[in-house]
Amino acid sequence: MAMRSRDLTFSGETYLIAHDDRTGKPRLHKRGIAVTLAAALLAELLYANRLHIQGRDVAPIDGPPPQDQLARDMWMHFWTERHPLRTWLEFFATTARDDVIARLKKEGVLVPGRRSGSWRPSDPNVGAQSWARLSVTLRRHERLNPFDACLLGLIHAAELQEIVLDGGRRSDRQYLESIVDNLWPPLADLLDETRSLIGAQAITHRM
Amino acid sequence: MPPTSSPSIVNEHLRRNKLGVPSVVFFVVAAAAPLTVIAGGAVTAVAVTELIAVPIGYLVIALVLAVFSAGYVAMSRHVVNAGAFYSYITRGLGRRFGVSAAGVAVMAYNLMQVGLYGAFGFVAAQVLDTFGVGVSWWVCALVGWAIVGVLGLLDVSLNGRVLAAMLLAEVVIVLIYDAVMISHPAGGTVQWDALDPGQLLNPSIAAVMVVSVAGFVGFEATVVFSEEARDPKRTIARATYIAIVAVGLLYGLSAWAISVATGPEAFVGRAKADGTELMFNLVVPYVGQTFVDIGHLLFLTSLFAALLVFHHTVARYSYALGREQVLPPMFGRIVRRTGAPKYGSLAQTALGLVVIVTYAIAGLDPVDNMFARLTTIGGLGVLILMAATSFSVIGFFRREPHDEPVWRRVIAPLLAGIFLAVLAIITILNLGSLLNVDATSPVAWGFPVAYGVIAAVGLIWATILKWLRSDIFARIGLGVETSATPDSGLDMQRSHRVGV
Repeated sequence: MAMRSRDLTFSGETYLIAHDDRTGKPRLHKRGIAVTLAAALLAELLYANRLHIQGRDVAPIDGPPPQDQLARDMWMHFWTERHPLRTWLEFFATTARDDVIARLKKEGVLVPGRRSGSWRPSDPNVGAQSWARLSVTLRRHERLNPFDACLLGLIHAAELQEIVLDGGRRSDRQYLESIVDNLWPPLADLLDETRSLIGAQAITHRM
Repeated sequence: MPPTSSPSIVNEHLRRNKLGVPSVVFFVVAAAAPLTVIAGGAVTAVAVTELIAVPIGYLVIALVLAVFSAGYVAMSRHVVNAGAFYSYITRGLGRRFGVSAAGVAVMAYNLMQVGLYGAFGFVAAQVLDTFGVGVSWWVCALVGWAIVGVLGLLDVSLNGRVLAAMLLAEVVIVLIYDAVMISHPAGGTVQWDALDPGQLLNPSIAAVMVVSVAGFVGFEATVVFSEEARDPKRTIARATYIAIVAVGLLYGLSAWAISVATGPEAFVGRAKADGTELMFNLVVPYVGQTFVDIGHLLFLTSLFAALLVFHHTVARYSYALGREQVLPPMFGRIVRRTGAPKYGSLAQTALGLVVIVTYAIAGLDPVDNMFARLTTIGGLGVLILMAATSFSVIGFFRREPHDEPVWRRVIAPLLAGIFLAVLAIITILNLGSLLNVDATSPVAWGFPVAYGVIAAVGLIWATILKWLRSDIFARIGLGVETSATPDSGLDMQRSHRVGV
């Protein structure tokens, strides 16, 4: 099984897969990135056992607050207000990109790019590690650990799978689909809603 | 992180990016392209139908659509789906009819869009001619086609402010032209004949009505913005009624103003002789060439806005159908970097090319043959969809009772449905005269047959899906939604609240 060379979060790895390893240019449209990163941040709370998702409902789970400041702030929101999953995704999507960039910048993963306001991986190898790892695992049809299965689900919801499947065989795609079809049910619910929101935005998009 | 600390912070934060009534009105009225309808559609309608009842036709259709909207908007409060007509028909009349309707919708909006290329090419060639550049209409149409095709893939819609500015400029210039025409009546007296309700008794009035319906196409998109609206319950209803009333009054007033300037007795003759130039020819002696040139430019931008909006409409319809897998799944894919519906956009662009090239090679007239005919036939498709949607509203509220008054649940949709259905039938029976061809001409019977065939294929395809792919059949009408899972009722009270 391919190993993760550096510990990043779902949102961190999703961000890196959604951007070019060297230039940092987005590989996905803006709205897609925003919603997928919001979903990745929610997935972090889900996997930390701080959030319960069922269908379109979300509820916080009691316990010590998350260590990470961003995760803690998000988690607190769920205690103060109750909304359907779609609303939360929309809400966090408005700031998800900036939040994830801030975290990756703090971790030294991102540095300023050539244009003002743009960011690129400080080390192209780190930028490439996520998609490369997933790509190798898929092509070898190896068993994915829960982290990578979730990450694969996120990039599939964002229709970014071509990044890891480029030049892949039909069987590799089928393997990917089988993984996505058998994800942990709460995560599957989150990804369903992520896909729906991205789709709805593609239709009602007006700018 | 979004800012915290207020109890309603989530809604308040999201509200900032939502659309209010003016924005929704601007989007749909700009799609209806007022100058295109008045200078192009209204005048062409008079020429083709040889009736001067077009102004009152617009007013009557505005009234009918307002009645139609009572049920349509009421249903939009309970069905959040950007697929509009076909998803409503699915919910009201069942999935099989939903697929039928989807086929009719794709054909109708495609015809509206490709028909507009004829007017765009013609007007663009005229504008260039004023600058001394002689170019064929089809060259201009192909340039417009290429730009629309590229913007479609880039998912560039017209910016809200640009659209608002363009629309306001269009409306202002139309009102100025109206004032000029009314203040310079033919024979020195303002005549009201074109607004005479007695004309509604003329059996040929159906032709005027269907052309009028085509002028309103676009207003139905208000419900597409349900999820984007600041207050879905009120914003959409208000925007829909405002759009219908504003557009109806503007069309009615302007078409009547043209009849005043030509004189009712000369209206048909001048409409035939001057075509889409009629309004400009009537005002040029009083406002000067520069003001008319500005009008021409706005006519062109109005046409372009309509082309782009209809392109997006078709692409997104195909996208929703692709996501449901009613169309091949590839239609449900987007362009990764732009988020545009990829194959829906490409297919629409390809169709546009085929139609423009066919008309150019055949040497057919871009206004009478392409613009007038194709948009009228497209309008007929939308008319059929509106009639079916009216009955769907009744079906929906019978199946799923909601707290809506009987006027919205039954009476209004029934009245609108009967009127629109009868109008659609009369139109189909008299399509030959409406399209200015012999009743036995393939043009006259071919398109209604094509609508029928597409509707039948939709029914058959849906039935096949039910037998062979029940999973896909179950998803029909959901559009981009991945599931219809009702709220699970997960109870936050079961979790332990922590101090915050």
